[in-house]
Amino acid sequence: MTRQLLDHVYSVVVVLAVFFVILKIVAPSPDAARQSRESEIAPYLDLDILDYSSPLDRAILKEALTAYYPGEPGRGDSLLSAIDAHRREAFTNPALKAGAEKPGLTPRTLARLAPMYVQFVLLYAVVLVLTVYGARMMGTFRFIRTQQRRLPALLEFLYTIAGARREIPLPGRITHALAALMRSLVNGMLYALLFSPAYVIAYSFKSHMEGGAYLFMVVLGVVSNGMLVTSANRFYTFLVHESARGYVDTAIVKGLNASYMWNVPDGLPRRAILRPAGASRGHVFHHIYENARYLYIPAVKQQASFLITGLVIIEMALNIQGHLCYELMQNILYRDYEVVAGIVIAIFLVVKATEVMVDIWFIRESRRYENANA
Amino acid sequence: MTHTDYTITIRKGGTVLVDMQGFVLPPGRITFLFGESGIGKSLTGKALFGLLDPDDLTATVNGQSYETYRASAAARKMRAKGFFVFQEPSSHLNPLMTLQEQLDEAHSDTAGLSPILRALWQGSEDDDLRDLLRVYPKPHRPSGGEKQRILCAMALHRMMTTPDLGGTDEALFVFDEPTGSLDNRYRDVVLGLIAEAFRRRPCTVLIITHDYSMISMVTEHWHDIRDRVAFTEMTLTEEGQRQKAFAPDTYISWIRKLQPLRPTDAGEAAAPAILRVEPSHSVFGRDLTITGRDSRLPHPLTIAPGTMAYLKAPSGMGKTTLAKMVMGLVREGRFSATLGGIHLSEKTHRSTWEREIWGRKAAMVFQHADEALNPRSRVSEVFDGLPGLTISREEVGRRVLAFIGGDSEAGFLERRAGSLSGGQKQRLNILRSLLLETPLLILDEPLNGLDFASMKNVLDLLHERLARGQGILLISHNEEVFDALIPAKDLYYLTAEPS
Amino acid sequence: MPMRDLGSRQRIPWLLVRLTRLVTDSPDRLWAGLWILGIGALWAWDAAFLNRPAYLRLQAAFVNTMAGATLTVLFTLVLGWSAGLVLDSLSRRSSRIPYLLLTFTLSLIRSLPQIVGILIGYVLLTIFIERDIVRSTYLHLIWTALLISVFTFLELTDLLRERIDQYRKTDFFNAMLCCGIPERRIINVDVLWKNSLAHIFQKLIATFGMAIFLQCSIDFIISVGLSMDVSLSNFPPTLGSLLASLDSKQDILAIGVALGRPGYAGELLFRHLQGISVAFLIVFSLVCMYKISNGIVRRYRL
Repeated sequence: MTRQLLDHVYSVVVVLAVFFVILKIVAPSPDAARQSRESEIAPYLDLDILDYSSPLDRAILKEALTAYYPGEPGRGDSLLSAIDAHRREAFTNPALKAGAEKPGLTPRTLARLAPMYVQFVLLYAVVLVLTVYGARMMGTFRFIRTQQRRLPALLEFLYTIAGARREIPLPGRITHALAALMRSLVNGMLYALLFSPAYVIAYSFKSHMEGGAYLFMVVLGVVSNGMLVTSANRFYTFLVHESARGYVDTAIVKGLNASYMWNVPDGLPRRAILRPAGASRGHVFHHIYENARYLYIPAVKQQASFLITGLVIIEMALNIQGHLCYELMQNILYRDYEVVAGIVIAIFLVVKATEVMVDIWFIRESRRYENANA
Repeated sequence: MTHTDYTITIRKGGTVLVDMQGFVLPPGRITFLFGESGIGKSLTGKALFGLLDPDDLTATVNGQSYETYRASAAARKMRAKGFFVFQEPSSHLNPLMTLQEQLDEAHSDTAGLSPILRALWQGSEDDDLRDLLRVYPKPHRPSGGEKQRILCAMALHRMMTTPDLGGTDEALFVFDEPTGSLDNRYRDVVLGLIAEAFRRRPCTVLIITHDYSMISMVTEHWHDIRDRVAFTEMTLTEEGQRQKAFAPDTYISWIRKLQPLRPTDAGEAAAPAILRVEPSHSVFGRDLTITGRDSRLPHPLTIAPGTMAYLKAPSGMGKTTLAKMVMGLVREGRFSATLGGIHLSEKTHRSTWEREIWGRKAAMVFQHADEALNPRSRVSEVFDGLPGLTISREEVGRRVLAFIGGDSEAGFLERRAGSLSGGQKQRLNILRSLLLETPLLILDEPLNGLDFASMKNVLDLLHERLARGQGILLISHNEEVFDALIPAKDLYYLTAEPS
Repeated sequence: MPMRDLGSRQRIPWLLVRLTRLVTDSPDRLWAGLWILGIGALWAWDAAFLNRPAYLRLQAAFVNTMAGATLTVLFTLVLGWSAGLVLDSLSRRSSRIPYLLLTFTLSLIRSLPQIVGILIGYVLLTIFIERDIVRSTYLHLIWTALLISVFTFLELTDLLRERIDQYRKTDFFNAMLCCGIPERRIINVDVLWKNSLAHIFQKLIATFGMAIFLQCSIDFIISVGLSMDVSLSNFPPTLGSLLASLDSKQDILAIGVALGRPGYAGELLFRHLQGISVAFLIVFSLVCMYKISNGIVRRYRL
């Protein structure tokens, strides 16, 4: 156990070391050249009797400088071009905007980013918990439906209108067909929703919800980017693998309930979807679920990494000020690589912290099933 | 069970796995079903019991669809009151429940379980047994043999204590290779308990096995119920599977007529030993010693050309592990051996085996024929990549057909290894090692999974090899067969006592 | 009602029976066919109802995205297979240091969220373009494909190592070793090629879907503006960048409007065709890749 946790500690140490090295490389240089230029022209800029856009005033300045510094004929020209460059930059260089901060990871920048980071981590934690539970529920639901061996809704509809299901009287049959059709349409829309990248959903609903609403982002985080479906699929795969193991056969032979249909004596109650372990005692599914749940814990780590990807996409695509990833994009745009490196490391630490917690969780669960060494 | 006669077909996709007609399972009797592995004995048993997976396999029983058969009153009663002990014990226990919990789940009457467990763990203190039952099953603890005994205990518990077992035809107990991981002592205990339970309350029992030595045990000890025991054998013919009666005398008289493979006084050749293993070695934290035939003293295991050494020990002791250490497949532990003039120990580098031993000085035939060949390889491809093979591909093909015999169909060489029967796989496995013509051949359970006819073939082959001067190290639990074939001076024992 | 009982007692059109069999036995083929049909139907509709410049842009974007995803899959296969073999051979050496170093580096990649890593790669790309190191516009596609594959190959490596470890424990591996067959051959031919092809193929299909998703997302993000000096007109159009253009965003907004006013839904298919087409291509491709991948698992019982 300590070996695994030590590995995580090493990773963090190495990455932080690399981070500090990168900081040194990308530290915004005081741009000595520009600063010395600035200091030279500063007194001239303060002269409010001169209007630098007027050719007459520029000529007068040049004459005055030629008279004052007789041995330097080019001084006037170089001074004027420096002043021109400075004035141009004031429009084009965003870093020089009024109120722009000093570049780099200054305490002021850190203080500004800190609450955004906390907000990001909280959002991440809520979405992760919701996704883990959601994935388990969805995976369970899909497993039970597969074991029930029902026809997919669309095929059920087609079969009913083609003449099957004659045991249902005609009016009932029409309702049955329509219900199947509705189910298949809803399924289709759900798939479209669950697989849509966040920006597609976000723009569809932008007019209905305020963009920065916390709830909106949580919902987006859980539902979009295919996050829920792929996690549910992973849990479903664990359930399928466990159901093929030998101990399930032994359980069947012992006489445990083995039918997956609802409302039959040896089947499952519907509340098994919400509470799979509790509602399935005396059924082979109880064993399958407990084993799958235990083996699924390390897979949460992969989920975490993909979840961050999803959240970054959401925040960047929605482009809302006051969020961590918006800042990340802005700083990439304005070449402030120090801040970029800082934010990246902070995100990396979130993933690492999740990995550590999942490892601890798995080790604690494993302890329950360890044998005291004989 | 209104029938005693079953017609069973099982298909997977388009392939027919089982096409059995006239499978006889008399109610109220113990039926032994022999036959080589891989021809459908387990599938037939599972089909009768109602355990097949309808997603995977399409089956019919007596013309009815499988769902109808399963739902029939007779089949349901068979399952409710009976039990099925599966072949592979380690995957059939839940890793997240203690053994005690799993036993209790099978049957609520815990009082009746204790005498059965005490019988199965003879010589263990009650405290040790309680400690064992509190364990969560892991790969090495409890051992394979102990896991199998737990599964047998569940079945025996039902046999002995279910209040209403119904008529003899209502409960079906199937034991699929119940003694595969057990050595002879526990095999006899389990069979004895089955007989005792049967005496108290007769029911229908099916024992699927390829251990023909059970015949000797039954003939010797089950006099009172002998008339209610049937021996049958399943074979795979061109029309499908068939079951026929197996006369126990066939086996018993054959055993009695076995002669040693090499006369004991055939002058000790001065030829140097092909293999010599020093007596004491250790692996996985245990110290083990090899002892010779009569004495308790440590004795190095030596194999001269033309001799076969038989290494015996209780199951789980480490015979296969020692063989793997000599072959360089297990690199832990401590040992010392000389093979073909090359000194080997735990310090030897792997490249020595790669360059000089594997395929050149020694070859090994592994225990489970099912796993020893790549199931996706075609028969002709099994021999690709063998080093130093001097014969051409056509010659290899010819020898395969000659050796496997009976299958001279043109497509045989193109069949996938996975589709062969257990016996065919085992013979292919052995042939691959034999083609290398190495001085030493290690055989781990070579008769596993073979039917009676194939057993005789393989023994003839061994005889021929010894005559040609090859040395053989044998590991097998078929003591009945090999004790008769191997002279006492070539018997070795592996013990855990310190030297 | 269980599927099996249908068709045996009642007269059902053979087409339906065939369809059911396709659904149960080879769902991967079914969904591959549906994908091609869906794309084809959209192509025909757009040819009829979408304005020509937008139609050409859409076509180019789709081709570029699919080409990029295919390249990613190829790079993933090469990287993943090599890493798997290297890790396996290093893990069996007596000195553990090279193995530990390599697994450590790979675990760092694992812990870095994919999109962040790809973003950093993009920053490097813009620097290269600014400094004129990279001139060809199609190098952008290759670079993106390589970037994405760096963050997807580890799953393939894990799969290969799991298969190798599983087969190492079997007797046939040892049996072949003892016969003198070289280990490299056993691993590559017998374990991976003969016994794991379906697993590898399934993983590659899933990677294809992931590549589409990541590529569209990253293109969408950078089109919001990641560099002022490198204009997006330098880059070949992809579905993501097309989605980020203003007219597509308007079209997506219209979906939200249509949800509130169902009568507006018809307009979506005619007036807002560009954005709807792009969104449909992305979402439909992702759904189909997911279904194909699951279908392979089901058909081969992986």
